[in-house]
Amino acid sequence: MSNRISRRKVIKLAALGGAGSWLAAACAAAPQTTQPAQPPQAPTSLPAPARPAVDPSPAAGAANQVPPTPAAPPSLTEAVQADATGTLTHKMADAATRFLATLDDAQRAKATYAFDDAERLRWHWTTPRNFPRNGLSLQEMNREQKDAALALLQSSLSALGFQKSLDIMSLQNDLGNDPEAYFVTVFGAPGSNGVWAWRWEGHHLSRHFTIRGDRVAVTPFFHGAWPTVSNTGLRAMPREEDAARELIRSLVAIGKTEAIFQERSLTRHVTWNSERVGPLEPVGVLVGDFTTDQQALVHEIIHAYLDVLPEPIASDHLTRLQNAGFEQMRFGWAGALEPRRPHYYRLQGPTFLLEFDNSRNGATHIHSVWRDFVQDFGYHLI
Amino acid sequence: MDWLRRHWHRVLAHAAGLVPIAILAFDYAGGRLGAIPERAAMLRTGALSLALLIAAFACTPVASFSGWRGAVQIRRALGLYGFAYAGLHILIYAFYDGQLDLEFILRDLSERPAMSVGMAAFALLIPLALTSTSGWQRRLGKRWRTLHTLIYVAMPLSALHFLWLDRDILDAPIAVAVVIGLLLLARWPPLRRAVARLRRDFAR
Repeated sequence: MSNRISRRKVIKLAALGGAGSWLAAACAAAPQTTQPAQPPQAPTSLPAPARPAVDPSPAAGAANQVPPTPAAPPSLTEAVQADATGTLTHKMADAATRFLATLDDAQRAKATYAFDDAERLRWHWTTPRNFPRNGLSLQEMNREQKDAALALLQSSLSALGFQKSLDIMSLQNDLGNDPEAYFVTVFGAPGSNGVWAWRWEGHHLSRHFTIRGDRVAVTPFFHGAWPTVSNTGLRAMPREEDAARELIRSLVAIGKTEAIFQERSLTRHVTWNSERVGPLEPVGVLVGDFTTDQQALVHEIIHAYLDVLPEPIASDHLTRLQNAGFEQMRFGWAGALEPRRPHYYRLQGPTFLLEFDNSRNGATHIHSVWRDFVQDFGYHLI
Repeated sequence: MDWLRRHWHRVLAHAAGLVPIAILAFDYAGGRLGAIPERAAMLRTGALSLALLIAAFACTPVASFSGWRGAVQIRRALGLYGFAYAGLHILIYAFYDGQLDLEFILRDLSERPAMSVGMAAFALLIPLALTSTSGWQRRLGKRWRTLHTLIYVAMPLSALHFLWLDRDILDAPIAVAVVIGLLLLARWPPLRRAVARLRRDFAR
């Protein structure tokens, strides 16, 4: 009898203890509100399927048609800015060489590919778990190697672009993901006379740099943010969303309702992870028909994306798209006009396409991609 | 006091079900759920649902391994609280993620396996919750036990839902899957017989 009683006591105590600790854990359980890991810091030494899925939606338009291989004449602006970009590409090559020098043989083998390897064109924005990446992740690097990798990223972006990249990476803390699950991959030999490339990729961040001599291609580039506001109040992509909403509201206010080409949001960006894209079906309204203030908002959207690039590259892109016809760009919106309601917008010019989708998770999950019909993956440099 | 000594486990089970929702409401009202409170509430109710369902699922093995009948007495309460949190979790999902847009929700369910298995798990729990009363137990007789074997499908589906969410850090989902796996294993008849034998020997 005494044996039974003592066992009961043991069970009772165990149950009380277990339930108590469970309750404490469950009550505090907000797994996404914690900050389990620090985002990568700025370097201490410095301030799938290879072929894209075809989109079945009608809005895809001509997205799935691969444009003819473009000729590769250097543009005037490229020639004018050759000095500036030349310095830049040398910095990038030096940073890439320094990064590779910090790696051991096995790491270097993992991080490098031949330039013409199909891996260069295989890209995605989802988590590495959903789309395994090749290359060397920050998780596999020591402090010195991480510094060198971040220095390479820093050398290839503006200060704003570098900070935005770190912000997007730090959002992984809110998602229960590892903010160091970002992969560096180098294609070809940095600094050689030939063409080489490098890539920084992980969840919501996909940046591709293709370099030949003094010329550099930086598209496609993908920025995403989930949540749109972190638990610490960080907004990684504020103006990309807000400026476009201000624009569509001002268009609707003056009766240009045809800017809304669809009442419902698209739920995803049309071009997905296509290797090459052409112009999508023209939707929305011509920027040439906008008021000065509205055109200023278009400029602000464009700058929100291009200002992440080093100045000479950003200027070159801006000049290119202006020469191709700023007024010929079209802005189209799909979905609700209110914040936190699903929406999508598309800004398309003769040379580029910007898609922005914020349809999922109560419109707190942004996907945006900038595509260049000629320069994506540096086709014009090859 | 004597009542509390006899019913402490029931009090504990109801506290486990009611205290977290009170804390959630308190945190929501006080603006302590972060920048996107709906998302935090959705995640918290999901975690609570899983914890309570696992606790309910553990009751039978605990009772048969320890001989403590109290575990069986709180199984229904824990299971129903777990089901209620799952319902709340889905409701918040429909409002927050799905914007109450049926077409969008259906598309999300078809595109994301984590969503479809989660919804399937919840659908399997509905008949279990509805027939959990003593009246239904009597009315269904032997079929009640057969019907309630659905929990053996619903629990692994819940674990899959957690595992397949877009996360790279899988410590918690793997821990949940292992616990559910062990609780399923604990129901394996040869193991149960061996434990029963050990208990008899121990009692002597």
